[in-house]
Amino acid sequence: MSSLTLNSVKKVYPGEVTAVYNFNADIEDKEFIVLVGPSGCGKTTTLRMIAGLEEISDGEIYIDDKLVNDIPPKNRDIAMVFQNYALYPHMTAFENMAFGLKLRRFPKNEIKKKVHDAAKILEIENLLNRKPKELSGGEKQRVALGRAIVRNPKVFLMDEPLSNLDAKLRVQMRTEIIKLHRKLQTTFIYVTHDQTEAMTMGSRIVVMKDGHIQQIDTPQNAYNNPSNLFVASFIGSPQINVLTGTIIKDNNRLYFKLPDNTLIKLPEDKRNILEEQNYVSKEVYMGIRPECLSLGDDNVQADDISIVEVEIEVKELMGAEIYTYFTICNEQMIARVKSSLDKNVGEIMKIQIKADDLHLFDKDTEKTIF
Amino acid sequence: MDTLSTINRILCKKILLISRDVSYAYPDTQAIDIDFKDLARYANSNYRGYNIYQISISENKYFICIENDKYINDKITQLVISMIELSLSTFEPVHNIVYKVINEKYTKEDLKQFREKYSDIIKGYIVLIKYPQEYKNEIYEIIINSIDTQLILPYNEFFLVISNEDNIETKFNNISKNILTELFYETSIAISNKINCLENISYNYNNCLEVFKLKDKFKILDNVINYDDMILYKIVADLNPLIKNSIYQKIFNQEFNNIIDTDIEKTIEEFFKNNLNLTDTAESIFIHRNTLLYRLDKISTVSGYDLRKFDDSMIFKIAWLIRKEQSLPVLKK
Ligand SMILES: Nc1ncnc2c1ncn2[C@@H]1O[C@H](COP(=O)(O)OP(=O)(O)OP(=O)(O)O)[C@@H](O)[C@H]1O
Ligand SMILES: [Mg+2]
Repeated sequence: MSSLTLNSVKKVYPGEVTAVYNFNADIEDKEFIVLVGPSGCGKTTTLRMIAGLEEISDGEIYIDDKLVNDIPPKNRDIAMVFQNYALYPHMTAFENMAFGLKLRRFPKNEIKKKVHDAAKILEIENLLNRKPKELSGGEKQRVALGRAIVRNPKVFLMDEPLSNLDAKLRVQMRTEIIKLHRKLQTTFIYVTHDQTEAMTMGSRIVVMKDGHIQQIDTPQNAYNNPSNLFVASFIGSPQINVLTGTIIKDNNRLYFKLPDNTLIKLPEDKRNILEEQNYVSKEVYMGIRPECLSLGDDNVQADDISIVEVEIEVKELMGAEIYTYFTICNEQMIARVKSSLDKNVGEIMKIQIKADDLHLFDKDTEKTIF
Repeated sequence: MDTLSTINRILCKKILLISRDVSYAYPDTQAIDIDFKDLARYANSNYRGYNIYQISISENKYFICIENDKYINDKITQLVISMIELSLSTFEPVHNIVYKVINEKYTKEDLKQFREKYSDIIKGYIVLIKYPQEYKNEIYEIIINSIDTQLILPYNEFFLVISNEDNIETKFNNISKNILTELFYETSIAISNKINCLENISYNYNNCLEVFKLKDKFKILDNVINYDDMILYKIVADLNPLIKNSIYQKIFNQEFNNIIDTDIEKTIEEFFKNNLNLTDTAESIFIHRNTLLYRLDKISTVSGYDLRKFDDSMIFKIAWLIRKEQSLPVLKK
């Protein structure tokens, strides 16, 4: 059992730099939590506070209901894995994994057992006698993970462990780490700036910006129901399209009106929210994901669909889909449409927007309206 | 040491000599599988298949470990120990000499005499690694297992290492990472220039000490710092305060203070770190090139200095270091 609780945790560095404000999170045993956000948002600082490498300026951290604020890192029962694995060059894979235990004066037979157990989990039993220079990049990475596993920690802390690998190996190691988490059944806290990594690996993700948590949620929820414009734009690739416009009422129906007077139908079931919160006649941001923009069909006359005509500027064939780029009211937009699209660059394409797929954000607070 | 290899040959037993501070070991610390921390505790007994004897030569303590399955202290053993004592008292291990060189205990004449003798050992970069007393042995183990060293000896709160390896900075970065992951201790490492004779040790040792001072002064976060990269910091540290102030005021005007936030700060740091290369900088902070250009334009507009131009960026960098030294960043969010 190893749960982790951060209670109003704050970090102010000397020079009055606040790196993390009021971080609250309840992380359950066996969770795979990913801290994600742009550079400088406080991910590493948070991880280092959990590890005990950085003193916390305010708040409490509990591991398994035990307050660890004043417990030194070595007694917190954690293991860290960093970006650059530095294996000992003259030692075999076995010795590399055993080394930390040897430093901690574990008896020989216990070391042997732990290393073999870890090697089994990592499927590198046949490589134990090899030196680092006889291992591939992925194998080295696994030995590096093995060095953390043999310690049997309650919590694994990983700070961008894959960011120095080439794209192919990175994708492969992602799967390895997910598999590892499943086998070990311990809590993982994983830091990355890469939203794809966060989405594919985390059981829950913590999206951060400027030292503030923006949202803690499952990847699916953060994607479908982002808490604000930042999360909506940060999660998802290609990025969500964002337009500015005004909410208007016409013939007893609510529309999102673009500066060029194009009207886009808003969902009827959200009407109450907009009216009760006085958004009618106000400017808002509207977001729509590229995959929600489909090719318009004149025969569809549903009550919740709007059709917009755009001029294709760029076409990128991505296998089963085509990324098409166009402009609406000076905003660069992108749609992921079926590769059966027969229109060329410079031609007019009809885009269909479903009311249910729209996200609206407050213009001032950038918080999600729906 | 010749005496030891002779004894070793005659007895046909593994034998190890190690100074208490682990700065001297024969044949080397890897030779037998013993935890050096435990030696003092097991002196005059059998430990893991070795008999441990403790001896003192002038102020230094040494342990002699001789392979055996049970503890004995017979006449032969005493004879062996006396021989080792005798040879140690006439033998000056190189680490003692280095200590004396750093402390400037030698005359020029003395140094000349040693120079030839140790020319093979005293060759490479001088590196200082900070360690806490509680992890002395562990850090020692991590160093010797990560890199080939000519010499490694504890001195004050540092290990002084002489190593002749290539890519020295990368290797010590790895060492610092291993120390952090194994021991959760954040070390500081200073790398000085390559030396090739005893006389240069003291000068380069002092340069390493200066690196640590500048690291504190300018709040540098890197764990491993090369003396060569500190020249500009040194210049700034030594600048006349009046000049410092005028440069500072000129660039960090009210307008600049209004725009600076963590993003701008990070941009400036990384742009310098990436040798003013736009593509590399944008990549390292995961922003679009256009965003980077936008930020650089903003900096240029408010400060009057365009970081993409060599002269501007040089002055700006000096001002930036002054700012760090004074540590005045009151960031607005
Ligand atoms: N030791 C320190 N002293 C002062 N400020 C610091 C220190 N460490 C980090 N910071 C600042 O705190 C903020 C958060 O930094 P942190 O390293 O946690 O970000 P991050 O999210 O890990 O970014 P990245 O993706 O670039 O690694 C940044 O503004 C950074 O400059
Ligand atoms: Mg980081």
